[in-house]
Amino acid sequence: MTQLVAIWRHEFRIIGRQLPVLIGAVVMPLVVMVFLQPTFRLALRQAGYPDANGAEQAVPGVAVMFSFFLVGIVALTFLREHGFGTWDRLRASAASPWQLILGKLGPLAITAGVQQAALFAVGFIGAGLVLNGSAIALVCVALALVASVLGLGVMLFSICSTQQQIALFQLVGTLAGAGLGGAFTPASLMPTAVRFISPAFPTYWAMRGYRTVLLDAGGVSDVLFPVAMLLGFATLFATIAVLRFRSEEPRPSWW
Amino acid sequence: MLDVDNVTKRYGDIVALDGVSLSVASGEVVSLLGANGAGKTSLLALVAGLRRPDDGRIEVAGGDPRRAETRRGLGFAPQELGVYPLISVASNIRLFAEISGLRGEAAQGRVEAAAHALGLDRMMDRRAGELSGGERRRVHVAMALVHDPKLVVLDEPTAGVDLAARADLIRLVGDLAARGAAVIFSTHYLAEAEAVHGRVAILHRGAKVADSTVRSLTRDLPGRIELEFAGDAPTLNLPAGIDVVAEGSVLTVRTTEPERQAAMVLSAASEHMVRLRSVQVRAASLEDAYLAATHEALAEAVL
Repeated sequence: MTQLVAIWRHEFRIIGRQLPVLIGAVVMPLVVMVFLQPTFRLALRQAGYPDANGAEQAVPGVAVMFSFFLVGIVALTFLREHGFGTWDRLRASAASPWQLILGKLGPLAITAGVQQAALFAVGFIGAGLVLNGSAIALVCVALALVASVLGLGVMLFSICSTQQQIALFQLVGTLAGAGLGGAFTPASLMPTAVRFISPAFPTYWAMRGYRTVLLDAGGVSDVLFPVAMLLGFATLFATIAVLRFRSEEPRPSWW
Repeated sequence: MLDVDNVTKRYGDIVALDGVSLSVASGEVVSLLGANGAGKTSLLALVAGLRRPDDGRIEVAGGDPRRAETRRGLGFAPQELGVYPLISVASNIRLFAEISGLRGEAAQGRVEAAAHALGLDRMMDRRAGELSGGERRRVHVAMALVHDPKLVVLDEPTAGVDLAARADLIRLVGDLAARGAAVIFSTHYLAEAEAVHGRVAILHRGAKVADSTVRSLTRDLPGRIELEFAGDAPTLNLPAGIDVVAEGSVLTVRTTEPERQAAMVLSAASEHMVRLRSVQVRAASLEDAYLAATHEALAEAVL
């Protein structure tokens, strides 16, 4: 426990040094949200929600999309230890492998949670978003989304050996996942072929969970399936990471 | 404190370590010498618990270094410089104090002590990324020592530092042993191994080819009496069996007792005294022992 707390403090210290990046991860989606809301209002009304003001799609849409931008930060949190030359000395310290992993993921989980909370807070206060369903259900979806983001980030670290590979996967993956998962467009308005493959993306299940709460007044029982699917993705990503990850593997060219 | 017993480590077809045994007691310093690729870093990585030996056993204070609890008593500074450039020197050192279980004032006291020992007192608030290479190397070592470990493992701690910093680091190694720590460090600088007055272990192609004090390693090796003349070196009338080599203007006599035989050699050279420019009498050095040990191992491998 002592080791875990020490690593948490250290990670928060490092995060503090990268504050502009994290502020951008909240401010940018807010800007995108403002631009998208009018379009989403029309789209939702066309999709059968006559009272929708667009925030029901814009807020969770950008929250989901930009949460996946943190995937790269998660992967880099591990990869940078190789760049700094500190990976081996951490492994030779009194911290166990699990303490190292949880110590690094904990502050990032809080960061991702704060990002979701901040975006929804602005949505409720400034964008006219109305919580029709259960607040607990909303939180459950957010937590499961954060779990899948962390899992994907760790998996990315296990399969990428350079910063550029991570950046490429993050950009392409986030945009493709957001588009195909329904963060840009209500799933009901997407082409049939796309709707068929959408469930293969965690973004789809996050959007489905958020929409169930925000548009269909869903409760906890209504979001259990999307939450389970998100947690399933998190488990799948983590399993791949564990199978692929070799702590002794050098990453000689991390840039 | 450290017990390495018949350890073998392979990377694919490459045998990095082949049946190496080594022990380091509390208060003892062992310098690990060897060419690049001899297995020094592989051995220290195993000792630090970073890798698992394919065969053999390693114990640190009676425990397996692969276990986190065992590593609480181990301080490791890898060969690659490892500091966090974005945060301060103090934060870098404090992280490893806290990971080892120190808290509050105890941690702060140890951070200050480690910084003081490495001459970092006046740069504690500076970001590590702003420091020179030598200063970062000091921080790197301080991070390994901050929790007052019982076993200190330093992989080429003086690589890339200036002469003054090297002297400080080597003095620190001696101080650590004097305070009761077991220290093992690798180096390419033979003078450092001589300076710490500990044991020397020489690795060659993954095998340990020597392990003793400098005095023991050099005791039976020939020293040299070198005479430099103006013009070509003359032929001296020396007793049969004495190893004499003339090369240009330098005449070298190899003998296990250079100090005792210097007078006899000078007497033999008396008729050439007007041409004699310099005389050097040198006992066998660690370099001689290193070369002898590695050449012997090479010859055995060829035969």
